[in-house]
Amino acid sequence: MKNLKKILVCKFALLMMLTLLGTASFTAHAQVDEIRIADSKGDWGYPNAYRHYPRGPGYVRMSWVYDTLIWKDEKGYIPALAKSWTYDPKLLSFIFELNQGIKWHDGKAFSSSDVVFTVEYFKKHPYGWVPMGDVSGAKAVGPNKVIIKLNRPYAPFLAYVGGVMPILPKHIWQNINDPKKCNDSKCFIGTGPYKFIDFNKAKGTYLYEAFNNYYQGKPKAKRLIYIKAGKPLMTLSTGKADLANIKPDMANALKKKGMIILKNARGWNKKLMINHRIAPFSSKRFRQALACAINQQEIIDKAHRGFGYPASFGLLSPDHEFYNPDTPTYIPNPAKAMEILESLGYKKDAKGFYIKDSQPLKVQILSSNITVAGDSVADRDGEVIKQQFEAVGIRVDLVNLEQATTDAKVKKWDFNLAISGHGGLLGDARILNRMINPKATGSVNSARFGANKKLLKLLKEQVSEMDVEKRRAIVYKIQEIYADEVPAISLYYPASMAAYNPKKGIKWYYTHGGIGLGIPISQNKMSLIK
Amino acid sequence: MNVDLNRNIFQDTWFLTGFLLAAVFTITILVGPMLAPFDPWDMSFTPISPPCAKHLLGINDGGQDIFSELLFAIRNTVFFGLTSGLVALGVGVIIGLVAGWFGGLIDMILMRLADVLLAIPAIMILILTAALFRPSPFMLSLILAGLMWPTISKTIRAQTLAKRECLHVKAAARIGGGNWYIIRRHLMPEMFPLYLIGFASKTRMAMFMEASLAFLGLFDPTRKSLGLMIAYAVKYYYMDIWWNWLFPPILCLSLLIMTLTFLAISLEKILDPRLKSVELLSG
Repeated sequence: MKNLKKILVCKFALLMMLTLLGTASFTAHAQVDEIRIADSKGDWGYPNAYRHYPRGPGYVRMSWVYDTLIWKDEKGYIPALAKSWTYDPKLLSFIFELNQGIKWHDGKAFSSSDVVFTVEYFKKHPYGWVPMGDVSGAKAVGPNKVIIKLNRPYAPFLAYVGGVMPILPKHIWQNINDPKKCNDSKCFIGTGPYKFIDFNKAKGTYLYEAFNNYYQGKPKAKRLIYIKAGKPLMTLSTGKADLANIKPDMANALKKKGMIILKNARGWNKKLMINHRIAPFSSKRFRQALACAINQQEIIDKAHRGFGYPASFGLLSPDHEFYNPDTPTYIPNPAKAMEILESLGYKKDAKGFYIKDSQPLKVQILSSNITVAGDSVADRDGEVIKQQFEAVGIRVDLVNLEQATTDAKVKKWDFNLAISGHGGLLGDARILNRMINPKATGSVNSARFGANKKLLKLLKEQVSEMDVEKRRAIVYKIQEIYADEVPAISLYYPASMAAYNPKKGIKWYYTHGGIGLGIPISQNKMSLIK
Repeated sequence: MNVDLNRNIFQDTWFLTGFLLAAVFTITILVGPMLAPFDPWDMSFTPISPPCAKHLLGINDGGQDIFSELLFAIRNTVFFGLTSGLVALGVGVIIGLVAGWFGGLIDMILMRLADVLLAIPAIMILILTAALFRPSPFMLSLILAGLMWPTISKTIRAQTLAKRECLHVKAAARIGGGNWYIIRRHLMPEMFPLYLIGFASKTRMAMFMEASLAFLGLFDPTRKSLGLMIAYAVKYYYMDIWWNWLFPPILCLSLLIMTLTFLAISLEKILDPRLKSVELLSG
């Protein structure tokens, strides 16, 4: 009898285990109906290379539809359209072996000719995110092999071309001469895991549908929806969204509600753009005075309640593999700032503000509320910086503007100082070229600084240096010169967090080095595949 | 328009409430800076702290004392409203009197101009002007006044047309009274009650506009305003700040608007014979 009981208990336990395992395996493979991602801004343009807005969230919207040759997950590079890749220094080429059986969303077969076509198309119709200046051309060697030839050794190739370039379908784009005007649904045909269905510009919503013939497996959710929602705590708590960027002080409340909190590395910086083309900002000494007047920690403490980290004056994040720990820094020193200003001929008036040639020293600061992932925060950075500048005797006219307006003014050099920000600080060190070189395109936050010839030379050299250690040494030097010249001032890295609901069985994560060029957003498409 | 203001007005509950609130706000505005325990721009306190004995309404996200901020914000919002209200009243009265008294082509031109301005939504003009040209708050209040005068001038014109036919006005003209003499000595004083109503309604509207523009971030972000306080507080909706940070500026703005509404309603009731209540008449 005892034995019978034991057998029954064992059988029951076994049955329960099998049931649980069965359920678990079913859950892991079942497609959920939809995944909703909340975004405070909503509109990031149409999801193709020529129609998305030139900021990270715009690229991420596109990444669901278009695949690249290689991709990144939380650990680093992984195969995508290409299953393997090698660099041949003798041929000065990257050789990609492509996966087989890949289909476009319209059912046509993908082949190496599409990759060759894309390289040529981006050379003819430049796409700001994929600089093709160092790519000579591409050649198909059979349907599943592509050789991309370089003009010269180009170290950031994988980071800036192989892992970022969305591959376009030749059979569609070969007939499109003005890609920026293409509205047709065929302009959104890709090989990515999701098909683009709809974008409502006014509502800021995107709808994608799973591409079940995706070569890496069936996506985990039938529909992917982006909704415009500025209140992540509420949208996550009520189940309106499954993933959202959050403010650090929301983390505890969301944790209590069972959400998983993701914390990102320091890949996004708030930056004070300086119009170094006009006086007095064209003077290096003056820019250094501004740097001395700024107290980064005070900005973090007063404007962000301590949720942030002081930024390196050399631009690269301390979490970057090429970060130079000996980058010059400007310890907050109002006395030093005043000393520099006085050495430049400024004298204080009766009210304690500087004047020169009877003209008051007055600077205008454009302030906008952008933060990581294109979100908007209640921002008092401008107020704190105004106080810091006024404390040393610089009058400040603080102007609060919408981000797009600030971007436009910065782009046209129609500003004195502007508080803006960008990511990409964990990606390839080519970000330095993108954010410093005066000829760089594709970013509204580039300092476009060409006054230091040595800096320009080093920038050119670092992208050609294929030896990692030699390249590191050059990048170290660039950071030192950049910090000395201060063509722009990196202020701080905001604490960047996201939260997601684990009930849908999706594990979201921050990508190693950021998505694409280094976008610090936790919306990697591989989360919905593997 | 012959009304015994002193006799009727203080028996009206609307007026008494409005008057009391107005008195409280006047004192707040006049002695606000002295009452403020801290410099409202001082960011040296612990951000987002709850109220305590030292900080009656707590500290905002920027480490500033909310009570001190509120006192300065009320001043700015009210000054903007008063400037707009007074200028709109002045312009409206002059144009209304001139159009009504002179009539003819002058009347037609001025009233068509008023019609055009009435057709333009003032808030859109203000938003565009503030965003594109960034005028000072004072200049913006004048622009708003320039958009608000037509309703006042239409009322004054209508009343002027009626007064023009009165015997004493005709007599003044017959005995050689000049245009400006008649306007100044006969028409202007007799329409005084209308000024109060017009001023109250326009000031109320201007204060709301100021708060709206500040809420949208179209003023200097360091300029204290009830709208800006609300804008910042709303962004921290997920924290327990509504009662000490979000509620006070909303309450003050509502009370300011209610104060003027009460005064306008009571004055209208007392001064407009058609709205006189039986109670007031018997009194």
